[in-house]
Amino acid sequence: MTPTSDVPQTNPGTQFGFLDDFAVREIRRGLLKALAIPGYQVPYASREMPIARGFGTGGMQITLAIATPEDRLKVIDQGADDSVNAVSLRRFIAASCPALLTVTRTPEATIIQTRHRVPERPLVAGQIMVYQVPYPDPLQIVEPSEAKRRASHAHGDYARLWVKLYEDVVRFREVAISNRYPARVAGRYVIDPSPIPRWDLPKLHRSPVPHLFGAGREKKLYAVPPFTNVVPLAFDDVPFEVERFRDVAGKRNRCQRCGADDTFLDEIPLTGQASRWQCNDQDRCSENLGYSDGA
Amino acid sequence: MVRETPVLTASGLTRIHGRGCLDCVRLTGDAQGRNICPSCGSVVALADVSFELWPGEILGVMGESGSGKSSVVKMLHLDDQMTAGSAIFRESDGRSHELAQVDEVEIRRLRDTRFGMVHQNPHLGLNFGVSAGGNIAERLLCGGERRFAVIRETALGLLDRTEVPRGRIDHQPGQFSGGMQQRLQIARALAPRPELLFLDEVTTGLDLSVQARILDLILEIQRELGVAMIVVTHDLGVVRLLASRTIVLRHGRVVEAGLTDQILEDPQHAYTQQLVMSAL
Amino acid sequence: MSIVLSVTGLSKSFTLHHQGKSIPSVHDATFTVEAGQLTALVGPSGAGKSTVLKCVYRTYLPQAGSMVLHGDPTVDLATCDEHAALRVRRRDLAYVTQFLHCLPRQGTVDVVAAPLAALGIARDEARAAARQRLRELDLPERLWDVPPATFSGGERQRVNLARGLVLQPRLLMLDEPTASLDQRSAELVVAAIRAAKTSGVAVLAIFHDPVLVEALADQVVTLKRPTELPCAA
Repeated sequence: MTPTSDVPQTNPGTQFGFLDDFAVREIRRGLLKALAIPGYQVPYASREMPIARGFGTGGMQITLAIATPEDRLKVIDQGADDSVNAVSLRRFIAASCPALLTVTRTPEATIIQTRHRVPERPLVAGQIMVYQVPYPDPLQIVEPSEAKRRASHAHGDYARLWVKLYEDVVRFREVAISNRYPARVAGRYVIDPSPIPRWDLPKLHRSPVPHLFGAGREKKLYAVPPFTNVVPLAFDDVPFEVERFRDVAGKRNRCQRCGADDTFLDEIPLTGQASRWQCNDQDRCSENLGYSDGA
Repeated sequence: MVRETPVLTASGLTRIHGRGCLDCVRLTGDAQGRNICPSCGSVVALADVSFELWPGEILGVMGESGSGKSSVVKMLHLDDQMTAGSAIFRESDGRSHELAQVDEVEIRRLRDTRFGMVHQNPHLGLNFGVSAGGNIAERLLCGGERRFAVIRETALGLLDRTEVPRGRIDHQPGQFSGGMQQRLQIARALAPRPELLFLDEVTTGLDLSVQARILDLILEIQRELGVAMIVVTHDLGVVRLLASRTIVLRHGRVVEAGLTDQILEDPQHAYTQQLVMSAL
Repeated sequence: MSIVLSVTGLSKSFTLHHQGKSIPSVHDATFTVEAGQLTALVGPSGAGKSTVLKCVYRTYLPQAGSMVLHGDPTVDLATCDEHAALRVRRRDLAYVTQFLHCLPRQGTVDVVAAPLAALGIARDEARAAARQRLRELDLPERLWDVPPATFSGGERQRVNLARGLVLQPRLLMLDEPTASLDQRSAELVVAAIRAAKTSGVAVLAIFHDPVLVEALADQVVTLKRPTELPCAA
């Protein structure tokens, strides 16, 4: 068989971005397909990476496949740039991509790779969100068979997912899903938006940037193109709500560091006194303080 | 408003398991006394079965094991594909479908919204991992209902209709008695207001008193909703009570067809006579 | 007087395949029934009287002959298809035997109203007509919402007849309607039959009591016992 495309001349491992040409091409093609069919899970041959599965290989492969030397990369984990995993990923990508700059300030980034959060600061055209996804299929909780799930997606049959929502509303008077809240993309496929909290889900709706999702272990890519409808599954008469962060008196909690009352907060439990709260998005918190503490 | 065309017209329904050969149909059947083709070993579950089902009517499909009666339902409920033949389903809005040729999307739509099916084994017809209300909700959700309050009210109404206590709506089907599981199946089958209901040995294995109440319920529902039904059974009492017309199957063929009371009191075919004489 | 039913050359035999026998039941019966009149079938037991009624009702399939129900449309019950037969049973034909078959949990009024409900008549209207019939047959009101299972023979038979009459059928068939009834119940039944005749119902009846034949029949048809003919299956 004579391939019609060029055979890569360089050895893998010495390429810009670590991945060989075939891998890059496959992932880019996969991403194009994913963008062309919003919310559809595109299977791909997830490559062996120097980090274990379950630590972000899916997101990393996307970043490595799309990064150019002109890009500026931000990597966050749980909203923090300095958590162990974010640091490890950032270092590896920096090492694999000479001349690529790594940043922590959201407005400076062109590629933002994340696990668990979407930055608080509104994204602008020119940026790309890359998500690390553990489980790409929202139907996984109700149907163990992959073949049946694919058929369900093909038929747009999400009844069993809806039944789970029904059971939650019966039991708790609201849907008891805190993160990975299923959402319908472009009125067609329902996606698992990765373990981002409900707070972040509205940010995907008609966003000016593309959102790319990579599941390395499960070997799937999917995407939400810019300005696409992303609607959380909810009954017409039991609307979707985000976290409220209100104390028992009904007052909105504030960040103890910067005073913000409009961000997703981490709870810091204390003994003998009320919990304190702090912005989960580290960079946003620092930005609110004018980067005055050297951040 | 009496519709004057049949809801279902089945012609020459045939189902052969195996590779089949030109002699299969000729070498099997009632006269030959077998389902298995001696020439190629295929099993002829059904051959040349034809009948009509009219609006608001209950048709009995009677036969013993191996007669092919369950295969008839499988073909028509689109759980399996016929090898040959035709089955035309006419909806009340005038649309007609050749069930031998429907595509997957249409199969799902018909099964989810136009047909209802009640199985002998409740595990086939119910989702045991979900509450009773959830089972009914699933069918309403398949049909596109998105209002929680409507789903809840409809489910409660259907439980009332099938005489399942309302307070059990959030219980799991595994906690129900056999008779109540069947009634839940009926409630679930009726949720999308189907035009055609299949009942496959629904009272077999239940206590007699429970059986009587369920048959009673089926008749009441039939009177109230006018749903056309196909009742598959081996029990003459069930067919006598429910069906106005009946077909008798043996070795995959229709050996007798007619008004139920005529078949039971003046059976023409030797096998039917034997069946009727054997009834306790 | 208009003919409602004309039976010509009706023959029925039962072929028992396993015994290799063919048992004749009725041979060459011919008679008519006219509107507002009662035709009584008489003859010894085994002469096929009940068989004739069952043939007309299509519970039995005759071997030969025709059973034409005149009207709009005119139907030959011997050859018509099952749906025509069911339609006739729903609208034109009532068949009252000695046994009351009904759903175990239905109250008496609903049992009697059932044929009207089957025709699509509104529930309240059907029940009102049913109550009227029960009143005419003097069935006490306290029994109206009770299922007939616990009734006496006489009460059950009156319910049976009420159900047969509620439709105002064109042809009413009665198989020994007063058998095992007490004197008073029998009188009520006879009165109801007379009233039906007066309102134009054609009646085909079998009476065990020759006095009733004398009192009610406008025409008497005598059937003879056919001889048994063995034959190969």
